[in-house]
Amino acid sequence: MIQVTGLKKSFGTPAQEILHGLTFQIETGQFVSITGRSGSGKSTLLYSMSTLDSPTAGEVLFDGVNIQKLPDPEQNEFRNLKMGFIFQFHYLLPELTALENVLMPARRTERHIQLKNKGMDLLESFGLKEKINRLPKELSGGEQQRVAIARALIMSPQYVFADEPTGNLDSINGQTVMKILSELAHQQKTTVIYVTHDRDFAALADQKIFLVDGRMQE
Amino acid sequence: MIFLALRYLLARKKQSLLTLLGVALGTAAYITFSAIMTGFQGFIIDQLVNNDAHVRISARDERKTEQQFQSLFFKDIEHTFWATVPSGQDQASKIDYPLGWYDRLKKDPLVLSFAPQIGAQIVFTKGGLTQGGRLQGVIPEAQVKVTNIENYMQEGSFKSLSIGARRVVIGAGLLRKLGAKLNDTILVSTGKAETIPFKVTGVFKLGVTTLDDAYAFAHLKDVQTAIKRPSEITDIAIKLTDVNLAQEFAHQYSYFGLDQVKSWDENNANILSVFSLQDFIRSFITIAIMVVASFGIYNILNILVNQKQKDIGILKSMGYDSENIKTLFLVQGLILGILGGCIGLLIGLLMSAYLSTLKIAGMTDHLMVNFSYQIYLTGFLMASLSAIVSSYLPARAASKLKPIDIIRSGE
Repeated sequence: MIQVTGLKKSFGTPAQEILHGLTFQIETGQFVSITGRSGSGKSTLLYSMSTLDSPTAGEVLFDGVNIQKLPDPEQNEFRNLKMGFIFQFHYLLPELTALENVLMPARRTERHIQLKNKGMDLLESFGLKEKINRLPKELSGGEQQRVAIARALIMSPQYVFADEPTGNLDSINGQTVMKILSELAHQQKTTVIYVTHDRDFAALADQKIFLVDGRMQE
Repeated sequence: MIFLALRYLLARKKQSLLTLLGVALGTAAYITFSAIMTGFQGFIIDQLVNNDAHVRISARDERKTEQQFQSLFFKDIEHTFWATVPSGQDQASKIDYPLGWYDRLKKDPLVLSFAPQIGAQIVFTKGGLTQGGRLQGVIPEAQVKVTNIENYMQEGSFKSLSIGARRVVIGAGLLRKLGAKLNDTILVSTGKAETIPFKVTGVFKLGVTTLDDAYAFAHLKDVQTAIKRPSEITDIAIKLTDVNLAQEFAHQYSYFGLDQVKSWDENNANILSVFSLQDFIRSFITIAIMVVASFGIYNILNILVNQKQKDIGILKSMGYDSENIKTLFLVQGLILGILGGCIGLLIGLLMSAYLSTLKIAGMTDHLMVNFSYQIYLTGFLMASLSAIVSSYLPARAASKLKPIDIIRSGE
């Protein structure tokens, strides 16, 4: 469970408040969408929740623990073992093959050999069986994003944060990606929180967070 | 991170190879310069130390002063005004009381051995050929304990000087210039006595042209007789138990008499100062080369850090920490430094091996090259160190990047 209490985030000097004291909670295994217009604070909320960015005020508890207050090594370990990130741009490492990219989080703890079969299974389940040894530049945009999703899932995270995962894809690839994420939440009880502009994709969520100027709207 | 560092380097083969080449050539240049320069210096120092003496006691060549003339001729006159100020020098300087020195040297535990000598400028003649040179009178048994001359004998033996009277061991170059050979007789003339025949019983070749072309050795007594200075000596050559004590030893002994006492390095201060200058130039050139190579590493990594900001962001989001990121770039610098250093060592070794086969004209008959492991170790450490220093700044800059800034800038 994720508990967000009084979350504020400001930028710049003088400080401009982007998030105005948000409070909500997300149950384990929920499929959660964050929507809103451009500049409403969607991505800021996602990154502030996910520990990649630190809130100006308020706190985010993961099963009762404020990760931001843990020492750096423990934060990094939590991010490595419990969190998966998917971005609008795939951010695959161009020098590595699809499978090597998928196994990068596992390399941090020297578990890449142990998890090699899992990586191959993930790529196979995403329709990339024939392309595990291809470099990112040899894959299409949709394929690259699926590799990025496989990379986010290799450590079997409890939480997946996705920032406009379909933003750079055509509708068919977009639907494929959303199907994968939805199944992840509903079948494997992984908490998936995603930012989207697309109303149809937002409608798939179990819990919808709609932001207007940094405030939640029902 | 080594895995990823290698992939980064391999993905930019041309850049990596050029940087590698820069480090390798810098290291090879250092090794080759050092091998030649220290090889030559080592050879010369070896010649100076082992073929001469660690410490030399010499007769002082004192010029006569007008006060000496005054006290001799006009000792009762308070002020003497000279129409022409007198000057002069003793006809031949000598060590006045050698037995005193012998006694002291025999008792000194720091002295390994010593050899009395007398030197004279001589004209050597064989048939119609004449050649100027220096004849050194020595006691062969003592001389071989002080210098390594025996190791440089081409023909005959040095101790043959003791077997009979009027024998000479002569430099190979001088022998050639006289057109003589072993067992020939050559004539020795001092200019003030009759010419005396000497039999060539040995030929040495030190490899130093100035010595090989002008020096000859004969028994101390034969030389004293030839130049009509019986029982006189001009020098005492001393070998110490430790050559490093030479300067201190010479300093202490200089208080024991009027004779000049100088260590090998004081006697050759001008040569050693040239060596110091050579060392300075060598270090300067090498540092310049390594700075250029370091800039190569710095540039490639700096560009890479800028190009790889997104990778750094995504790696941090996966849980890789700042130290991991720093390692990623430091390892690349180290690989370039260590591999470039190793290739440089190999090129330097091959260059040195080739150069050591070259025949050159000059003081030595072939190029003296130093293959000491210290040069290779220093070269390798310099390459590695410059790689670490030049990759540290880009690595640190990369490690300080915040993932959120990178990810936001990519949106």
